Amino acid sequence: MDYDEFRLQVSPDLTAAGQWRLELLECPIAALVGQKGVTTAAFTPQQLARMRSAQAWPDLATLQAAGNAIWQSLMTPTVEAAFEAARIISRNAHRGLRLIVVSNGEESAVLPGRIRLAELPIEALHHNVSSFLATDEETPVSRSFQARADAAPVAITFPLRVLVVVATPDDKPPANAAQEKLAITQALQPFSDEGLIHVEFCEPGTPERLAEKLRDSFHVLHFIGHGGVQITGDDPTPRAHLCFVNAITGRTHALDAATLDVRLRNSGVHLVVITGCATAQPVPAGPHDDGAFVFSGVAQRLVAGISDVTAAVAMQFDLEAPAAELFSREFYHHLLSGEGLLDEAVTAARKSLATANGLGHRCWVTPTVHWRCMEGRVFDFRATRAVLDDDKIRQLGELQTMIAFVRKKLDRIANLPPEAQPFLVDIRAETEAELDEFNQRRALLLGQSLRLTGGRTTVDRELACRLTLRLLTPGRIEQVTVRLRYPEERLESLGAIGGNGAAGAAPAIAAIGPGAFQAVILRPSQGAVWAAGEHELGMFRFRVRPATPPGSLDVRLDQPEVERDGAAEATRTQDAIIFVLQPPG
Amino acid sequence: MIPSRIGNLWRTLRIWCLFDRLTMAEYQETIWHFGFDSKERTPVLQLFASEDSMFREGTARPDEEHRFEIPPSLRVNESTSNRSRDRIWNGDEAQEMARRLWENLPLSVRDTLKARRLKSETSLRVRISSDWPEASDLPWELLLHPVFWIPPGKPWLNLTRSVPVRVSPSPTRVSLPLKMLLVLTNPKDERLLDSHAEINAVTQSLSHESYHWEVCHEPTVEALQDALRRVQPQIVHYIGHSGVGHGEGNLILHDSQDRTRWLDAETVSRALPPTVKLLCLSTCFSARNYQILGLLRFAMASVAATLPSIVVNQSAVSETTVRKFWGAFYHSLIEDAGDASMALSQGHRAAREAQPHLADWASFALVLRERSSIVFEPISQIQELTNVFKEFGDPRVDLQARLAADFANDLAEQVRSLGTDVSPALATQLSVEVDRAQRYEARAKAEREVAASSKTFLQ
Repeated sequence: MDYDEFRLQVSPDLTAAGQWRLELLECPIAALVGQKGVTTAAFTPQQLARMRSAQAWPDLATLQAAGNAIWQSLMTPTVEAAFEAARIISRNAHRGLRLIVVSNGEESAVLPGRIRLAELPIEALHHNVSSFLATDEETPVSRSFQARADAAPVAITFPLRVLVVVATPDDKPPANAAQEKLAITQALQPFSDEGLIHVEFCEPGTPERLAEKLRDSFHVLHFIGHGGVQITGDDPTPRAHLCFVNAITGRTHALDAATLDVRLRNSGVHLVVITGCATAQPVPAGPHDDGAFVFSGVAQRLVAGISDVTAAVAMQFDLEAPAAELFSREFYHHLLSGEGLLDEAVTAARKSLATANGLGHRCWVTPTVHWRCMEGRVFDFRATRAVLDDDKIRQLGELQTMIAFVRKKLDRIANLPPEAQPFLVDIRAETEAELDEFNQRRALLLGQSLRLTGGRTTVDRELACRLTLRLLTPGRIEQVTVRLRYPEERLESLGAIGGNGAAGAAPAIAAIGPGAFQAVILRPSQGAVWAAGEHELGMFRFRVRPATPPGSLDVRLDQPEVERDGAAEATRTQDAIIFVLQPPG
Repeated sequence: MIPSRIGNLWRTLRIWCLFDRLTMAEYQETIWHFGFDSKERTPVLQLFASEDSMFREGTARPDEEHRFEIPPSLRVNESTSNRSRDRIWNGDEAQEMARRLWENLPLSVRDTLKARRLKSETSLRVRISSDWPEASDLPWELLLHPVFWIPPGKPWLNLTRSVPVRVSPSPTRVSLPLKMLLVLTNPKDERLLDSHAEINAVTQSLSHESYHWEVCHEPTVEALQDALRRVQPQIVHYIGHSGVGHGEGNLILHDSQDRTRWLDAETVSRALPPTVKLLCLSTCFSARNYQILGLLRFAMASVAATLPSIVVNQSAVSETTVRKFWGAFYHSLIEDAGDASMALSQGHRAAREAQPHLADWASFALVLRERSSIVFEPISQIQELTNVFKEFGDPRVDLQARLAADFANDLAEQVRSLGTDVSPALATQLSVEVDRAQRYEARAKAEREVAASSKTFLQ
């Protein structure tokens, strides 16, 4: 499903403790964007305690009452009216409406009888007409810290590489590590058999072993274990940590979110999933320790931090063993088999939890999504599922990491003022050459591939992206079909022209939705046999829209189909990067 | 022309003499790095002779010889949070805190310091870096308290904070008057400041010959970006509130409705033009800061934020101290050839002498985010090399050297924290980045020498 966004920012009012200010940042009805007044938390610490309690979690009526209180806490009459209007507009356009709650700032102190903004379980939002929003795929609910999504989906080739850490320190309630491992293995086995996912375990769950495993590139880190919070130094904000295992003592080695964030930098991990030990009893709550709530704290820090993590799924309450297993299976299933939309996958998993355990069970409220991803995707899964050996996958992962690092450098250069740009010629050229080299190495590993090349430009200027086909062996190419996806709010498509290398006509293009079109190149080699090497198929023209900020934009290739010597052949893709420079002053 | 030329020559000689004296002869540098013993999960203090050795030896496997425990009395828990920072430290209280800090240093460290301070001809320059916020939150500047001076009246310790970097380009030359942008924020949903008094306290002693300043009143983020782009300042001086979010420092600006908007170090770093060589973060004295710790945490942000060196307040200050400190600091910054460490000492001294019964002078800390404490080399207008230099502040090669160093430092910090766990790909890339940074720096140095000799010839 395609989605519109209803992005609601909530900021603690620094002069009036307990009050939150609301601002609608994004809405399908642009005129409704803006300040939406002040609200007070109607959801009480008692309701929160009830939801957190492992023994006395609520029934349907109590959960509805809690959801209504959360609704009152966020949905002032003006916000509610905007949300309902937006929902109608989206529904009429056959689109979903994604509700993203953005936290801006933190309370320095909390009044007795009030909760912190970060503690509000927005996933339980309930309205007497709309019921529980978060269980409806039309209205997924998630969290962010960014006023705008700013992380483009990362293109990856199957399999999705998942590193699972099962950490069961001796000083925490006992858990059965073998059973944990078995549960996650069983949950992911069907996808593993299809070559869609590759799971490795980090054993033992020590920080040292984690660092060692992270040398091989992974896309997802799935942590199963305990968490905690502690006050650090002069900072009154409790800081969340995950309980890894101390290699010597077997006891807890607390790895705080900031340290984990540093560990995950340039590791290739973009998604972190944190679930509690399904086989362990919940940790008794300490003064700042609210059970699984801390996972949410770690998730927030990772997504807002300096690593490449752009999304985190974490549990805000303890999740029981069968529910944890069901969640993992449903979540990965929907992530891999659907459009790859993260909140949609979590919503589908919520729905399964609600179906299996009843709508009054808090388990479906438990998963939270913290993210900063554009288009609702962490990953852009490449359609080609041809098998690569482990070594090539590892090398590809490393190259992906280095490409991301070099891209950050180029973004930084592009962000410098226009007066500086003429003085950056050497370092920019050197860095672009570095990116090109990494891409060439990636192409060599990928084998036969379609490649789209971008370039540098400024706003309101045109740029042609060159599409080429790289052949490992000579062949006659009958037809090439591929989809191009581009950020429509930043780029305008101006059509296609024939390539220098292709004897055929210009690619035929047909729009397939906002920011996407399909291109077909008929008989590019005109019946001749093309030699091994790179052959130009066509050029796609784009113009950078006004007000586009400096930085990089991706134009992605999707669903490639190459008919060669009378048969369809597996082909991988390499996307284009367009660098938007500051316009000359 | 003759007097100007003599003046310029004198100034140039003085810059080089000072540079040489400060970095080579008079100070012996030591790095105190607070890290974790990964086995015991206890904080440890590691000593390094230089930042080079710190990167060479790595900090991921700390030497267990020097253990350091934070004195419990200096810890601030939730119930007392900010209270000690929110009030102005008086002399007795500060002396007691300083004593506790000193006594909790490892014995071997204290012995080294004692031996050093008895050698009156050589001062010790200590740079404190930390992977651990609890250590960097401590008021280390109190070790500069006169109670520790031996012989009495003679300071012997130079102390700064540091965010270590793997490579650091030479200081950039900037022409006088230095361009300064004062940023005063006053969100309407915060405790309001007396804008006039706050600005006046900082600017009253500034010389127009040395500084050209512009005030950016209560800007939104967008307005601040515009002002930075237009002014291209060498110094940005922020006055206002701060906050701590997720353990990290934030500055508090306005949104379009004049309400608060929190900005973390990375966001601010992206907005700063490369001309900015020094960032000064002042707490407000006319209203209580929202969370003053946010300023220090901001200044100590990871090297990935690529901020310049920062002078920062860590506790509340009086108006008199603000006037005295900044007056002396900015005066010294020119007189002492851009040495922020020297300027900090002068600022401390002026504030201490003005109100001996208070210790709010120790609120001011310097966080060096490059190797040298010389943040720039101020030169007079006549020494400008090119129009480009005048407009932009950085000749081509200097800017590229700076960027290459930032890229290398960003990666080096990660490799340092990973120690032996670093992947071969990252380790290889780090060598590439460091080589590149050194190559650009060598080019920059060569071209600076050529430009300087051409200028001498023309004059």
